[in-house]
Amino acid sequence: MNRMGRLLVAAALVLLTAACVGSVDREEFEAEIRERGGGISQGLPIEAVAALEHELGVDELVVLSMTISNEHVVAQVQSPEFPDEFDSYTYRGDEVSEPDPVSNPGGGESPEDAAFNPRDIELDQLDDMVDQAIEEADLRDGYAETVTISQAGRQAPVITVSVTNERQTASVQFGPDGSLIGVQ
Amino acid sequence: MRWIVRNVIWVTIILGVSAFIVLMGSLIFPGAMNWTGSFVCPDDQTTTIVVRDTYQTEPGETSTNFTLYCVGERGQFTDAGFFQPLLWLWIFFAGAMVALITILRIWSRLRGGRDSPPTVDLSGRPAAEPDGMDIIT
Repeated sequence: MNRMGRLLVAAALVLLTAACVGSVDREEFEAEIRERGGGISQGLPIEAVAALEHELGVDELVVLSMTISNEHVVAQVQSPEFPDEFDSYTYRGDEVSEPDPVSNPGGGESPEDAAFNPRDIELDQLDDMVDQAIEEADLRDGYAETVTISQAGRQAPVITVSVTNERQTASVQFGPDGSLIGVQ
Repeated sequence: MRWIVRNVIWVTIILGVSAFIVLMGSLIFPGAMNWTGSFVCPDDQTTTIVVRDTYQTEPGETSTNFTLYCVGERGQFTDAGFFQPLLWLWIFFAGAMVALITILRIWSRLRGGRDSPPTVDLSGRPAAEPDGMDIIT
């Protein structure tokens, strides 16, 4: 290989290795997020409720359940036109998805009885609830994976924080005012 | 009029060259996107991480995407994308190039005015001092 060829190979190697400088792969990024607690933030569900109210043109949203992760909120929302029908919407921080009909909402129970207004939940205390849940679950390297809010079979909505690590998962439950109910 | 045309050409060249350098530079050193965190990240997400996603597009062929993420203390994150940080880098770099070229031109004019040797005419008498304002760069 002549001198120019060697130079080109060296330049190509430098470019290929340098392309990694300052960046991490997806797995490393996710590990960093888990190390910091999982990344569930109260800002996303608060925004989601406002976006859904705006999207449906209602003052009071009625939902059957809300599932919150670090990337999106999935809500089963009562149809403003047909109260016995519920649609699933996903909010990812920019816009609300198209509705996806929920089949058999409530699972045998009257869905209207299990529905609630998410504004009755202290969503602005969700960060504190998640931090407390990680502490209460006491799992080594545990992080909050999801938060589910549902009233099915109960008198009031319950916020369930799912804390997990590679080996086990614990559910920590809170009342709508953010008070700790228990750990399962 | 000539002055305007000349400066428009200069600005176009600077924008084009800086865009090329920033684009190539960010592919070689994607970590440069971290420098734009103050401009593209929410206040509560001050840590920036550039994530590399490599996909296999065809057998034996891969494609790599770079995305800037803003990360908060509790792990909450925002996808700031690739083009928005790149746009800020372009603005910084083009601004730096304009500043550098302006400084060099001013320095060159000042230096030319002071250091140019006196020209000598046929009579052997020193000519008038150059005014230092007609340097063509």
